[in-house]
Amino acid sequence: MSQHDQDLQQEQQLLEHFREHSRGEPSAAVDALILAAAHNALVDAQPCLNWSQRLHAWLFGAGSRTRWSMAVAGLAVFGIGLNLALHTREQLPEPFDVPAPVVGSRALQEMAPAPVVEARKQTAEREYKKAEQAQESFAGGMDPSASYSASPPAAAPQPMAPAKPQSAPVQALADSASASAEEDAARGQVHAQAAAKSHAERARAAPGQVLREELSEEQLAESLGHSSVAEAAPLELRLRGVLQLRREGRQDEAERLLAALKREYPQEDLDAALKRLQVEAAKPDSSP
Amino acid sequence: MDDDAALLRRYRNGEAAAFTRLYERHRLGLFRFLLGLCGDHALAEEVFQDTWMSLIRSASEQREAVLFKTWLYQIARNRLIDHWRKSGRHQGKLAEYDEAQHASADPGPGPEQQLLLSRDQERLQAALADLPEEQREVFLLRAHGDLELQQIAELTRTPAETVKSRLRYALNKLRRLLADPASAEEVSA
Repeated sequence: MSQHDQDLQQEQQLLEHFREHSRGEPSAAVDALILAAAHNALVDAQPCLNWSQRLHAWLFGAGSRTRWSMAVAGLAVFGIGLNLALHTREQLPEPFDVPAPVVGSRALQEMAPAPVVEARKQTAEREYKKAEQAQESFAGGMDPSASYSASPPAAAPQPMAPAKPQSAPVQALADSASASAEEDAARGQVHAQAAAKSHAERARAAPGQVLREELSEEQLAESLGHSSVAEAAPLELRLRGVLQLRREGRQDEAERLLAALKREYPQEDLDAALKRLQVEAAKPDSSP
Repeated sequence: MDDDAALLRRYRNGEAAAFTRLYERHRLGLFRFLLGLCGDHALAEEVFQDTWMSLIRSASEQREAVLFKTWLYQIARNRLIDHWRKSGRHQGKLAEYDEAQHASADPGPGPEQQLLLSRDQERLQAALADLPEEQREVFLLRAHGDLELQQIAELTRTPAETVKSRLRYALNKLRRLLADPASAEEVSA
């Protein structure tokens, strides 16, 4: 053993000797005072921490390991849950309450009873004619023939079949539906006639109000029948009705309707308007 | 096991238990260093308390380059020196004189003599008090603070070689005083 090692050994022995036999220590009161001061300093200092210090203390302070592991575990659980939810949603069968596909609706439309199909066609026709009128009024008096000769749009329905007498829907229903359906249709017809009558009376009293209510009346008429629609339609449509009646050979009815219209619209030249509509109706037939 | 700097950081972040662990770790060493240096229990307690209070109140973080223990003992030493300056009652022995005296001849105790090292508390205290202040300080920092020579040099702002020689002289003198009954009687007289 070298002299240096021996010196080191002796030094360690003496230091250990001193450490072992030193007896002095602070009193318990001093210990308590210092520890209490340290604790109080923490309590006082904590409200002064700003958000970044708090975040830092929360992330890296006491118990940070537990917090980190909890945060990672929470994130993992959330991710797994989200993944499962999306995966399950992809595999779900189609619910029963979704609307039927387009093909099915078309088939249903074809299978629908005749009055319903007819009412739909009439509604489409009215819409088309209204649009035509709007176009005419927009074009003004510049070139009326041009506006009238405009062909209907491709998506527009074909010109409708003539309006059937009021017994036609009932007949159709009687052919296709059961007895109860027949009763319902008859009841609907009675209602429709009553509504048409009252509407005509109101139209005589206040034409403006009738026009305002026309839309709802039309909607009601769709469900009940189309007699009230003929009453509530604008002048041109009713004149077309006169033409239609004439074409069907029901001259008496046509004349009655025309007379009623003349009474209702004394200021209008209804004969001229009828001729114009006749010419207009003849044009699509003559065109290729 | 957390190091001192980590414990202090945890305490600053609001963990009171970290301070308790830090206190328990350095409580005895620091107090015995102060007691050995000043020889007065009441003064040692006062400076000891003042040191820890200073640490508690200080919001600044400990510099990473400096060991916590070095920092703590330096605060305690400065507080004691401030107290001595204020009271003006302390006069240490001249280290140069003592170093010269003990550097001349120091045979060193043999194995038998080491067994005779006195365990008498009073003799230990008397031998320690007989050391020059600088030697005693270096010895106490080494014995109770368990500091390396380089750390003691930084703390006392003294060259490392000087610290090394002071420690060597202190150890030799203590060994001689504690092993030699005649010297021991002379010291205790």
